[in-house]
Amino acid sequence: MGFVDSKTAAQVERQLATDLAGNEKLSNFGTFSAEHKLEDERALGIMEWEQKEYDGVGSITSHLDPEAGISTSAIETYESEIAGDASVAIDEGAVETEISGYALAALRVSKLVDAGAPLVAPTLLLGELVYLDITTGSNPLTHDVLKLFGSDDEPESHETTGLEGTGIKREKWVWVPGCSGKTVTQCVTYWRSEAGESRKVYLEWPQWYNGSWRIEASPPAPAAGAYFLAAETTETSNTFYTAAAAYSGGGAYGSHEQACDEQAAGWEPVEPGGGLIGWPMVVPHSTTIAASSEYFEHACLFHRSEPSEWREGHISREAQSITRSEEQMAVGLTRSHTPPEGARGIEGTPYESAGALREGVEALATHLEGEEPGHLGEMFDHATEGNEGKSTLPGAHTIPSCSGKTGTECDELMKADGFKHITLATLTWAEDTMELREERVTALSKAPGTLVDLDAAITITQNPSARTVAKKLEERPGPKSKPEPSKEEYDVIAERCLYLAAKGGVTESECANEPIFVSGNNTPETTKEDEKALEREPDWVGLHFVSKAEQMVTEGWYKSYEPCNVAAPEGKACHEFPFYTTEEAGWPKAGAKPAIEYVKTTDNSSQGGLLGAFQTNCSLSRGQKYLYAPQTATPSYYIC
Amino acid sequence: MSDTVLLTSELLGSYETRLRSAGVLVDEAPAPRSRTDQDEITRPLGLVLSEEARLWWGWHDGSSGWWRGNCLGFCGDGFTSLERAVKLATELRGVAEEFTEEVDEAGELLDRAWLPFAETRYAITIDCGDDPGAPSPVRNIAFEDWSSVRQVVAPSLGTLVTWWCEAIDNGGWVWDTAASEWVTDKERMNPELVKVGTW
Repeated sequence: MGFVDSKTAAQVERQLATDLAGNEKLSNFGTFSAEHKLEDERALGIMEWEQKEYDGVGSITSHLDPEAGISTSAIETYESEIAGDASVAIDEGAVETEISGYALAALRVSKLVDAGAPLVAPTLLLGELVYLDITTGSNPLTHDVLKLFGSDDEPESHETTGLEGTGIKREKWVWVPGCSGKTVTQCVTYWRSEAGESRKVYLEWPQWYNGSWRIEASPPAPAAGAYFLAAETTETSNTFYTAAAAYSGGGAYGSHEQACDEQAAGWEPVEPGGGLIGWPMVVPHSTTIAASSEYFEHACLFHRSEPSEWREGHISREAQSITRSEEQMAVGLTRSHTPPEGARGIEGTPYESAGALREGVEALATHLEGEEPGHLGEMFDHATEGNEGKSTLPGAHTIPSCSGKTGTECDELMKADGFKHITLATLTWAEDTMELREERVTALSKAPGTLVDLDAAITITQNPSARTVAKKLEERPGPKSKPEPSKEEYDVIAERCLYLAAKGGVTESECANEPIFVSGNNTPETTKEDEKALEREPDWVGLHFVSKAEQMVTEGWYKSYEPCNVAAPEGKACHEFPFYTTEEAGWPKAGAKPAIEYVKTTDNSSQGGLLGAFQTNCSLSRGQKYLYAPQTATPSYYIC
Repeated sequence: MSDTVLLTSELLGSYETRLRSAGVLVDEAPAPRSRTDQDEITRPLGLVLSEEARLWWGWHDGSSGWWRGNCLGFCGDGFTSLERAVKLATELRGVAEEFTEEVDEAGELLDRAWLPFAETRYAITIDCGDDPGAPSPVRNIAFEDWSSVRQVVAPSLGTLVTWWCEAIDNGGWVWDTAASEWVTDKERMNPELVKVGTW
């Protein structure tokens, strides 16, 4: 807000007094008396000042208004309250929605109006500016707030035209009768029991924009089922969305006027350098909304609607409250809520997917958790760090989906989009994501679909490459009875071998040089059983051949153990792994118990047949080590 | 290896008496297969049963379905009925054919004259060769070890049954009624039987 910029607290007070004295527009509102206006606006001015304080300007104690009775200790008290989980439950028809975090929004008001009285979870219900700013203190401003927005004597609701000249127009105020002297909890309880229509606190989008200044390019209303605390209150939703965007979007930050000048020549800025306050709309940081050009355009249109009023500082208390409190509300919501599964953001924005929205929300919430209480504004500074004052909005681009792509392909894709700082990280084989092929992207440090500054550091994580080993496998003999694997199948075999080798303490070079037996998808039951066994005992990737004649373990040892100690179901045979023709076979003996399970007879026989071929045709000698790499992505095979 | 003994009805009866005395058998025995039935069932395989094979499946259809507990000796997952034997042979032939190109030196993985009479992870087979009246060699097929595939573990089915009877008589196999399982003592068994591969 321009009129508090570069002013001392005393100057602000004088300015406020002058403005209020000559401002007929404000006097049109309700029962708001001049005297009360003075106190109210004074507090507001200081509140703004404090806002600047949070941005690192000046010292908070030096600007406190003695008349407001605020002490540093009081503020600290309040701020500790912020860290708590103030919450209030509001019925929304049949849906019980718990809304947490409103205390943060209310704080900005409370600490100005309450001179140290206990904070009793003050809350601010956005959308209708119903201040449930109930304290047990006797601060007159507290009373005024109540008087302004609801008192025991006022009707439960009435129509109003809002404040002329501010661009703020409301169709309906909800009054909160009977709350004087009550705590928030008491008030809400009363309100709900008496009024029974607490949903009235929410504005619906069309209502917000009814009036002569209807925005032509308004953002789309939330689609049915869209996640946001109050789906009816689009302004809140958008703020919420914005808050998420502010962080995850990497801070496409410039200044209001710069950005809006790009939208429409002739518009004059009122807030050089951008900032956190002063926008008479639900978007606290329009610059962050640059991520959503549609919304940004809306912001500029809104702004242009009443430029003179802004320049002169004739901004209604309500307008500022909306701006500020909704910003805070967004944070509060973000802190307290994460989108549920299947939630969607606003259609037509980069955050319309639940995943993208959640990413932003979670990032913001994580950030907030690490913040000192009360440093709300810093959140946005953090998000926009390094971009302040830029004459043009820095570039940003949506993170592409690299699903199924190699790291190199993804890197190229991102570079084509303009991202400048990309790091390609390769997992070790022990870390390999076996569900994905070699060199495929396994993770991105920024979620696909989110809007990210082109200067942001992005890490692409990919699976390691098995090609070198695969090429060696291609040169080695395999079974005559099986078609030779394709290049891709060799890659799969090499990947699997390298992965299991890493898990089982076998060197990579052994995959390149030792015989490998591959049980594949033509004997799925045995292969899967063996895969499970290898998960349990990774060392079994390395097996040692012993012929049946030389095997000391009694054949059929497994008949004494479950589940093979009962007659086999028809068509099933007991499969044992490690194989009977290995030194690792049999039980009881040292080491882990082999895996035994009834499997399809033909699977068992077929796997055994190929194992026999492998042992015979690769001329395995007694005790010779070979590697076993079961996987169901290729047919069975062996490599001598 | 011991002298070759041809399987006879008397030998099978003697074996059954031992099993019944031990309490292994239940009362409801599978019906035997007539020669006509046997020919009908085995026709798809294109083989002619040996006399030993006919006697075996003529004895309660060769099935261990009426035995308590796990079956005796190397029968693995059980003695097969003739119908199951034909089905198993078909399956194993299919598997063996996968490896036709691989077995130049070892010969066929599963000779077409071999018919499973006991089911293991693979099978114990009786060889129904060219001469139906000749002894039918027994093999313990294990595809995972081709060197042993063609190895004869008993010169005839009659010889094998003789070893089983001896094992029971000598305490090599003792039926534990309480546990409903056989207790084996290799020291009291014919060494040839031990080599066959018991469980």
